Amino acid sequence: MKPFYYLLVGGLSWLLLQACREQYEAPIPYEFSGQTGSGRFTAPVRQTMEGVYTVTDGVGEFGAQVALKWTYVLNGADTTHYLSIFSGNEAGFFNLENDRSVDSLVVRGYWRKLVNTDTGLARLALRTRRNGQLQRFTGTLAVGDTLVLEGLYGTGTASPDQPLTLTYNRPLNPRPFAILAHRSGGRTSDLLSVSENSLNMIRLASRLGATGIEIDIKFTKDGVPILYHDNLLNLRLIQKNGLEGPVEEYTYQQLNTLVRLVNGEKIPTLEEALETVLTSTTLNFVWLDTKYDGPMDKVQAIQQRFRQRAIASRRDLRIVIGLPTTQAADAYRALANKENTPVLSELDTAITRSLDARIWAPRWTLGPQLEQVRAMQAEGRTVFVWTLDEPKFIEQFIQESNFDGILSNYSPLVAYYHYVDQ
Amino acid sequence: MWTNKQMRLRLFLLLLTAAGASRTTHAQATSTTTDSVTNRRDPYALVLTVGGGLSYYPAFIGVPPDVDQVAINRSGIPATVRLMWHPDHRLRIGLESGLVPLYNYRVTAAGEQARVAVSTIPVLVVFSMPLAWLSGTERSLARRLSVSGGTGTYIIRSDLSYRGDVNASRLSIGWMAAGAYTQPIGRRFRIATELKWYSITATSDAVFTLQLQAVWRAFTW
Amino acid sequence: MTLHLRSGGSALLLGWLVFCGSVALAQRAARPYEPPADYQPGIYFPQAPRPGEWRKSIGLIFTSTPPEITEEIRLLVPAIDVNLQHGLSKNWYLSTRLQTQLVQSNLALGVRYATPVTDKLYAGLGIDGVGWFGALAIKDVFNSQAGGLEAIPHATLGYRLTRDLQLTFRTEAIMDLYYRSTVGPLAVEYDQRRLNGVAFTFALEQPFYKQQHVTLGLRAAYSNFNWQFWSLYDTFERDFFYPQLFFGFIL
Repeated sequence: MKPFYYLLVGGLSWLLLQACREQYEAPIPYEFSGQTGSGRFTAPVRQTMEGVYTVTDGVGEFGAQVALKWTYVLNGADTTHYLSIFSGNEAGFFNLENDRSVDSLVVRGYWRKLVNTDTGLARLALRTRRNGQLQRFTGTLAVGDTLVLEGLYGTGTASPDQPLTLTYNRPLNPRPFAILAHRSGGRTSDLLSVSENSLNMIRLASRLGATGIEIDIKFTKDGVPILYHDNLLNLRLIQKNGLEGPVEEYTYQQLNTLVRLVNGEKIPTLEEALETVLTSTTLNFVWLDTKYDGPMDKVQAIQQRFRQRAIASRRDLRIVIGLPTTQAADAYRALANKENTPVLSELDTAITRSLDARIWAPRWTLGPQLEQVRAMQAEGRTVFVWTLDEPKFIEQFIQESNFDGILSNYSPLVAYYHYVDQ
Repeated sequence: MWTNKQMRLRLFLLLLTAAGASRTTHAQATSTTTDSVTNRRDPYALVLTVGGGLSYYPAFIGVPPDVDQVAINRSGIPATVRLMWHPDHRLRIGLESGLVPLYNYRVTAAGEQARVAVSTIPVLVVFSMPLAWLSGTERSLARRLSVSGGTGTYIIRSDLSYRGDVNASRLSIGWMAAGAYTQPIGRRFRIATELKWYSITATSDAVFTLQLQAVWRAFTW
Repeated sequence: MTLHLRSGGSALLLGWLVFCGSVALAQRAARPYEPPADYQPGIYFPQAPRPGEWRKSIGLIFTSTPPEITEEIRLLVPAIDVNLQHGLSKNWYLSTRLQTQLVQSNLALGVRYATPVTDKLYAGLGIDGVGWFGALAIKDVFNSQAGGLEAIPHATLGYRLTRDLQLTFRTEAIMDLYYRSTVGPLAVEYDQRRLNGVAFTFALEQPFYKQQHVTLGLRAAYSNFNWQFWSLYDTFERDFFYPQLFFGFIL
């Protein structure tokens, strides 16, 4: 019997260790060229393409309908365009770019589902359906023509071999709505290719559907405002290096030299982050979440400087200081001059009114709070809700509540439910 | 061929063993009859263990990127103290703490030397059991061997010297597992050697220690 | 229905195979069952209480939190752990288990079959129906409730090492049956039946002081959803590791 027991204990221990050791990863199977421009996808073509599409092939993987939207990032005067497809199925999305290797309207890239690690390659060609026949799209739609994106998708790094057909159904929901991405675009725990609160994540945010971002502000020991969420240097955010303890105990130079975020980026300063928003993205809202104790004047000065630059460059960009606690509210009240310092209050309606915050942002776990939301909106305030990730609740909040925007780690999902909402 | 010195050492250890065993025979004779279905309460004891030895850090050590002249040290000298309650059955419970070095490294970053040293102070609840209890005496190997496990809080200290000094610390939950051999040398004293594994959850740290311990049965009632 | 089998499923399968093998070995031994001379109390050990007898324990169970869900907060979350078992026959018994943190609780009701395989080796099978419920009403923070149903079939092997020490190894499959959560007037419901995860438990049961017996063990749950963290509304379709430490006094 003894060998039997040894076998039993050994086998089960091995299986347990295997289970404990599983590491989840979702590496992007596609490398973007990053070339500027959009090739044959001219501005009219891009504008025509945007809309809600019915999925015919690929329903099981991506749901019955998807939303298509073009975005771009800036590099000086140059722009690089990307096509995003938002799926309601498991927070799925596609990031695609113009395929310059062919002489037709073709996009290629990858897809990913944020709730799990599913990912794969995709290649789609833009065509028109005329009298039931698919034809090459020449750039203009005749009456009765329907746009169709047709191609293949695959799983992992395998060549795409599954059919995917998307047929234009209707325009995107035009109602203004803020799709705010948490921690500058998404959480590190969602296994995105870039780290939360990093410059690369800010550049990625609009491709994930965001129209604005929330970033977390802390101070280094020598008073430099940086983007970092946790109180401590944590392995969920940074690569292991032996440095522990509160981030405020380290100088900027120490952090800049010795610390890297989990995907290898440096911890950015607030100024670097706002510079990136202003010069590289089309984001129109930045929520500076106050994760520090103490005076707010340094953050206010940076906020005002970048607001002035945005105005000077005719950018539609709101930069607001988030007040999540009464201590933060007190720090705001203590500012010598509150002119040109828009704030967002996460506190109750009475405090929000007393602060004269133009934006109120309650937690989503309090529900739609229809009466309070309408009252605050009637006073000219904008109302956002945070941080909502549960897919079915996102759908219900968009359909049944009256918020002006949702802060979420799943901006592709918020984008999907907003754009397909009728 | 053994040298005289080796012979003397072996003889000394043999005598120690025999003396320890003979001194504990009476107490063991009582405890071998211990069983949960009897209605008798045998003596309880508080046992203090103090140990020191060597540590080795087998886990991954992350070194900052873009640095030169990397020198890593994975070993150190740990010291721990443990206070255990030995009730009248096999299972024992107690607390453990100490100072355990994890690792340190030196690098040259941007032309200047940086030094990082990481250590921990465990504060753990410990459960321990001898392998044998109802049978044999302390002469038997199985009664001298024990296993321990624990959980609790680790205070992780990180000392950085690079363009200024930072002495930071944080807390983490963690685990401990150990196996020990205890050699009786008197009525109240034992010496023990213990191989121990500490695992710290939040910082993904793990360290082995091999310790020589003095075990003192401080209080019996 | 989504099945998350992977290595956990393999372990479950192996658990069943081991159980079947044990029963087969017992058959070969073909000896009539005789109750052991030293009947030691146990909650996990697969041995039915004597018919009509009640067994009870009270203790604490600590659950380690995965960083993906609780982020920088890494704790051993405590819960009160109460067990109650009632012998029906030589082999069959009922079990009830309540775990509670007051604002959220989990009640398991189950039926178990246990049989000796050899003098020292015992085996058992059982299934627990689990209902859990949590409610949080905190001004400006929560107006949420959630509840759900799970089924947990399990196979158990117990080994009586000596007269005073019982070792138990249990393999569980955690099946989700139903989930409902409300936030203000909004509600979501999932009634999909799926394998949520697996768990492996290793428990020691023995006397501690005087006639007091205790249970000390580790449970390694590897699952997609853990009821204790419902209020964090994790959305990951990924299995996380939830190590649990439990310590209980058998009353």
